[in-house]
Amino acid sequence: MKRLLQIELLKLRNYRAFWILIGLYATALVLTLWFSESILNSILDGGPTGFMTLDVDSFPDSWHYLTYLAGFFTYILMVIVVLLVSSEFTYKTLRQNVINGLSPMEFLWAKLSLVLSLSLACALVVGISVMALGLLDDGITTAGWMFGKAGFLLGYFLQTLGYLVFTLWLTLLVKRSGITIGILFIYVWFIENIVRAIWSDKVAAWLPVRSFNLLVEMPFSALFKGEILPFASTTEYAVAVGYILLFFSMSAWLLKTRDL
Amino acid sequence: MENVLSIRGLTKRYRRIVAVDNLDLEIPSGTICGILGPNGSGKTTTLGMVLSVIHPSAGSYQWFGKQPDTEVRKRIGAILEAPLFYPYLSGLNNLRVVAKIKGVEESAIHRKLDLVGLSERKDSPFQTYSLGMKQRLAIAAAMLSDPDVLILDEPTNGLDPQGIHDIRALIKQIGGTGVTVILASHLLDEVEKVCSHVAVLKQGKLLYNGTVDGISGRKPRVEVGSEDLDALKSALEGYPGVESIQRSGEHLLVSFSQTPDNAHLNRMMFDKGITLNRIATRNVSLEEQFLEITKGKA
Repeated sequence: MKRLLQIELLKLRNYRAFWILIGLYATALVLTLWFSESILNSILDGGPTGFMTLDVDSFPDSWHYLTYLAGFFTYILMVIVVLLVSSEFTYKTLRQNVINGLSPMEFLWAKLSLVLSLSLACALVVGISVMALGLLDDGITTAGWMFGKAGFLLGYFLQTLGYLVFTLWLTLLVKRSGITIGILFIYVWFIENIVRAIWSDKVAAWLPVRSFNLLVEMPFSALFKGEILPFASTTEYAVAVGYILLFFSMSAWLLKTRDL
Repeated sequence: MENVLSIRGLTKRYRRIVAVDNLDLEIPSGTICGILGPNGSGKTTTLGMVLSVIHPSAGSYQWFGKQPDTEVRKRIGAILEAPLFYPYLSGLNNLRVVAKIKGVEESAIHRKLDLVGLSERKDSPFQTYSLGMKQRLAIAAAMLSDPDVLILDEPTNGLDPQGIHDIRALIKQIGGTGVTVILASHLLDEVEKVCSHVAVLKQGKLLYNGTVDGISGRKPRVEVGSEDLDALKSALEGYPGVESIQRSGEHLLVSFSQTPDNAHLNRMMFDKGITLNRIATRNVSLEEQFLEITKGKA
C-alpha cells in the first residue's frame, strides 16, 4: 500500500491543475470554518429568526455544525478525483501502468489509497479547526464536554470517503471527465432528491448519497425547532459502509473484466 | 534455442470482427523479431493480449515458459501504439513513476536517459517534447528495468528521416546486447533492415514465421543483358540450374534453383559468342515476397 501511494504521489508531483484545485479547496474550507459563525449570524440577522444568535464554534455541538458545513466542500474534491482518474484513460497511462507491471487491482488500490489519504487529510483539517475554534471560544473545559460529540468527525470522514469512492467508481465506468461530472451532479443533486420527494425519506435513506449524508445530518432545522439531533444510527453507518464496499467491488470488477 | 514467448491458439473476437484468429507463434530468445502486417492486421491486438491489457477470447500464451503475471511483465519493456506518459510531468518524473512500478533503483533512470540522449531535457514536461524525443523517452522507460524482452509497436511512426535513423540505430544497439526485441511494423523496409526473424500477419492470421532471409524460399535471381536477347535466352535455356527466364525491360531475369557462379555463367556465354553487357544478382525484396505471401491467402 505504501508503494502504491508513493506511485500516486509521484504522478501528482508537477500536476499544476491538481495543486491549484486542492489549494482552493483547502483555503475555502478553512476560511469557511473559521468565519462560519459570523457569516451565519449576518445571514440570520436579516432573516425570520433575526433575534437568534448561533454559536457554532462552541463544544460539543461545534463537532456537528462544522463537520456538516465542511461536507459542502466535498464536491470540489469529487471534481478533483474525476480529473485524476479520467486522465489515466485520456492519456492511456492506466494501460501503460499495467504494461509496466502494475496489476489492475494494484491500480485500484493505489487510487483508493489516494482517496483515503484525501479523506483523512480533510478530517484532520476539520478536526484541528474544531478544536482550535472551540478552545478559543470556550477555553479549556472537561475532556468529556470537549469530545462529547467528536463522533461526528468519524461520520464526516466516512461521508467524504463514500463520496469519493462513489466518484472513483463512476469515473472508472464512464472514463470521460466531462460526462462523469455531469452524471455525478445530476445524480447527487436531482435524482436522489426526486426519489426523496416522490417516495419518502425512508426510501431515500437506502440510496448511496443520502446514506452518506445521513452520517452528518443537517443540524440547523432541528436547532430552530429546539430539538437535539442524535448521532447517525448503527444501521445508517452500516448502509454507508456497505455502499463504500459495493462501489469498491464494482470498481474492481470493471478493471478486471474490461480491456484497457 | 529457448523461446521467450509462446503463443497457442490466441484469438480475439470483437462483436463481428475476428481481430486475431487462432494465432500460434514462438519467439526465440535473443532475436530481433518483426511482426509485419498491414494496418488492422492484428499486430497491436496480439501485443495487447500478451501484455495483459486485452483479454483474449481464446488461447493462451507463456512468457519464459511461465504463466503471465506482474513479475513477468516487469522483465518486459513495452511500448504499445504510442509513447504513453503523463503530459504534465517532466521526463524524469515520468521515469520515476515507471521505476516505482517496476521496482527499479533511481540511479537506473539517469543511465537510461543517457542511453537515449535525453539527459539535457529531463526536467522539461513531457508535453513539450518532440515526437522523436517522446519515442526515445518511451524506449528509456521500456529499458529501465534492463528487460529480457523489448516490445516496440511502430516505433518510427511519424518521425522524420533523422528520427527514424536514430531509433533504428538504437534498436540495433539494444538488440546487440542480447535483449530479445519484438518489433511490430507495417513497414517492410524497417523489418528487413532491423530484424532477423519475421512473423507476417494478415487479418489476424499468421501467414509466415521464420527468418527474414529464409522467407518462403527466396530463389536467387540474376539479371543478364546482351545485344541480342533472343540468342541469350536460347543459350541460357541449356545452362544448369535455370528454372525460368523472364523478360524484364532491356534485360532478362533468370531464376536459379541455387545461387549460380556468375563468372562461370559469363564465360559460358562468351564461349557461345554472346557478350554480356550486364550481369547482376538480384535479391527478391521482402516487399515482393510480402505481396506474394499475402496475395490470395486469408
